[in-house]
Amino acid sequence: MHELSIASNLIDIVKQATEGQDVSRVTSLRIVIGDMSNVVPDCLTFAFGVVSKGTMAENARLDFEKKPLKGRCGDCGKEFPIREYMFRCAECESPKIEVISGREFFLESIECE
Amino acid sequence: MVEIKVLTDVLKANDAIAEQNRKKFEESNVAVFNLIGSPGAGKTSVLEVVIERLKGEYRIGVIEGDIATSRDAERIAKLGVETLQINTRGACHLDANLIASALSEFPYQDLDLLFIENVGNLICPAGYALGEEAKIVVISVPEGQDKPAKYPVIFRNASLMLLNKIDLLPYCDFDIEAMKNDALAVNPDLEVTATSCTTGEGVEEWVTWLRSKMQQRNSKG
Repeated sequence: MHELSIASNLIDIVKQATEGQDVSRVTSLRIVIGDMSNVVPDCLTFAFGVVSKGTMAENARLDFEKKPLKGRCGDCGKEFPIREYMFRCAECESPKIEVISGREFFLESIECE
Repeated sequence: MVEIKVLTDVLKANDAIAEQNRKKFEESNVAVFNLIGSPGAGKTSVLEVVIERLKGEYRIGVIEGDIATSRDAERIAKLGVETLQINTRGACHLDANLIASALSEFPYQDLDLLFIENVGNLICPAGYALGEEAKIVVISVPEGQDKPAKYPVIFRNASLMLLNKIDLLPYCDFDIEAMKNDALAVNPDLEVTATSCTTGEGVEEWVTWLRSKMQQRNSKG
């Protein structure tokens, strides 16, 4: 259900982005999605298929660019992949970790005809 | 074929409304806590016990989010505090817009403390800011100790983990320390309190946590 409301947001964003542009149909959406964004691409694709019916994005393909979860240590500055959601520095074991990648969830671009 | 650059955060619309809600709460100096937990974790119960103890000190209100029924709001209303029920009619989480609409018919300006009890769910509510000061994740012993490991996002985003139903510990295979370690691995700043609304154990610590948050706010002016 979460994905259904997100799919509606996507349609709204597509409408705004194409307003005033000379396009008749949206053929694909490029979505950047972090590992920690709590959004499941397959579910979103399904939901988008439902809510896009009758809009200019009907039958558009969703392409996902996944971003891995990465952190930067607040003590030693090391950047490292966060595995199994263990927010602890791989180098010095500090728990002061800033998430630098993996929470993204944005519509990067759309392709239209 | 034309490519249009968009670069828009998909949840931006929600975040923008959440920011407006936050400003309204700040202007009225009301502290807002968003309670998130599984169905049956005891979100309404932990509110009942704390409201009973704090309603003489603070002006308290509760916004209840459920897919259907007003049962939780009826329970809270019996305590004599301002209550509003939102029915999401199927949606798995509250979003900032639902709260913004609710505020137009809810006298939040007259409150010191507002609790928003989210729809029972550990996943979707974690991604939707409502304008709250802090998220509180409510989890109960019978659900099992693996929740922080399985649902890390909400534990990462929460300020307090309230482990409820600790009176059931003798009947469950549950290691509190192991659970805390999992939760702290995801969020080292997470504060942890254990309660039983049935026996009253730990309720004083939960009350103390809220009181200290209220005092911190007041000392900030």
